[in-house]
Amino acid sequence: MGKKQEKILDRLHLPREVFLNIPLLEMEGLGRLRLENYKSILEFTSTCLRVQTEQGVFCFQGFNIFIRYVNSQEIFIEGTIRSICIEEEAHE
Amino acid sequence: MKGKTGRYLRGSVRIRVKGLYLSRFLNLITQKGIEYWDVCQTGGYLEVSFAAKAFKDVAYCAKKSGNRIKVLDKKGVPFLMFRYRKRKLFCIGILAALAIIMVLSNFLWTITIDGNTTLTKLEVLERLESFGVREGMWKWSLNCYQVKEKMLTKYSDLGWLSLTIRGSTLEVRLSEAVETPDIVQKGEPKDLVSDRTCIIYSIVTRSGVPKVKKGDVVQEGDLLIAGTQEIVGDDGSVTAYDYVEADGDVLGKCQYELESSVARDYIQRQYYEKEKTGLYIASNAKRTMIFKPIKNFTYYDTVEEELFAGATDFLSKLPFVPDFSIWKRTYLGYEPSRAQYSDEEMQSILEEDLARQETALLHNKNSVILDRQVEMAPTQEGMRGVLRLTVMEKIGKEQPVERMPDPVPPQDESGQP
Repeated sequence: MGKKQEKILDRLHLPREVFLNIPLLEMEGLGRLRLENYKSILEFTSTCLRVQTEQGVFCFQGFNIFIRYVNSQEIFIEGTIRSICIEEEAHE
Repeated sequence: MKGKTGRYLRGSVRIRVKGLYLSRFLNLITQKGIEYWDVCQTGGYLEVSFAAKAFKDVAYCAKKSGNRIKVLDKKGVPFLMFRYRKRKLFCIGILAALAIIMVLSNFLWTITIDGNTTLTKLEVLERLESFGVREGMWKWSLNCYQVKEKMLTKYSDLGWLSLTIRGSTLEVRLSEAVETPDIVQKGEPKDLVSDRTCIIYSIVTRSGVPKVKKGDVVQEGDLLIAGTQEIVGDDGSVTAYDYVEADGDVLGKCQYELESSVARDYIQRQYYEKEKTGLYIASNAKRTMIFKPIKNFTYYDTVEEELFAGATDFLSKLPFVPDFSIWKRTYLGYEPSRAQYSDEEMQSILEEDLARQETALLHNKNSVILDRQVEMAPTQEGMRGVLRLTVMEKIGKEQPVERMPDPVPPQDESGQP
């Protein structure tokens, strides 16, 4: 069903992240990042931010990390990001 | 309204969250649909900002997640209004002041005039007023272009005019038209005639026919050098006339008599030691006394002096400030008493006055004084002085030639020329 949905969306040229709720990551240099379609924040410190999404856990590591803005759809992160890794789905 | 302005208008609160379940707290408030920003972690605490309206829900989420919150800062218009809730008139005053400024800036408060040389500022202002332009008028009712065109049409002494409204000031820039002098074409035939009564001292003719010689007495209007030359034929009769521009240097001896008189009796002023000083502000043609002293003397002289000229010039250029100047008026009281000049004093006064008249008479004339005689004679009232000058100076003025009728050629017995 998931693959069928993707095919339909591709044929109709519709944005996948809107209909499939898949995470969308935008990064500007090493200091700014925007993540759409997240589920919850698992951990937040000044050196690490772990966010739960539909397709896994995104882990952002660096220093002076702070959340510039959050709403129910997206998170804006600023700081010096040194690594981004995707972990297997974890439980809170 | 989004962004920082929107947040400020709606009000925002910054809190510090202490506890073990900070992430849970963030997820709870996200679930509630509360937007938050500037989240940072400092030393085990979490600091977060959010809209002031959502404070109750945030406090509930903090309690539910087992965290404690502390308010760090409250920003925005709602808090500002609460802080000044007992200062309503203050706010109304600020708004009223802004409204007054906005309304008053629609009027013309100052008219500055630049470029006038022979025309005074008052004359220009009067001309503008005849077209309905004056200080204090509604500036949007002024059509600068129309007024400019009408003024240029009506007043021929204006060569160029510009009216510009800058804020509440009307800037008038003008250039006066230069009157064209009477043009005498070089080469046009003209005579040289005398412009005063004198005795000819010398005559040097460069072109034309001299009609006077040294020693002749001439009156005003007498011909000195003629621009008409007669062309004489073989038989001695005038066959034609040639017209030239008479040119030459004619020096004449002229006599001038200057008079002056002075009365022996005069009023002597014995000034008091104390002076009275007043201050007034002059703006265009109006004077407003700031400080008027009580003058307890009957007779006084008035001396006026402008103060702070540089500062008032500078302030007058600022918007909303009309053209003005500050003056100090000093009243010098005196006790009049009758006195008499001595003969020497009267002579001295007369000589001074006659010398002044002589300078004014001979100013810029390149004259040479040949003889100078001063006569002083006592009169019933005082003394009278007469200065007789014999001066050698250049005389003559140009005047167009009077054309002669063409001479009729002599005819022989057969009737042919």
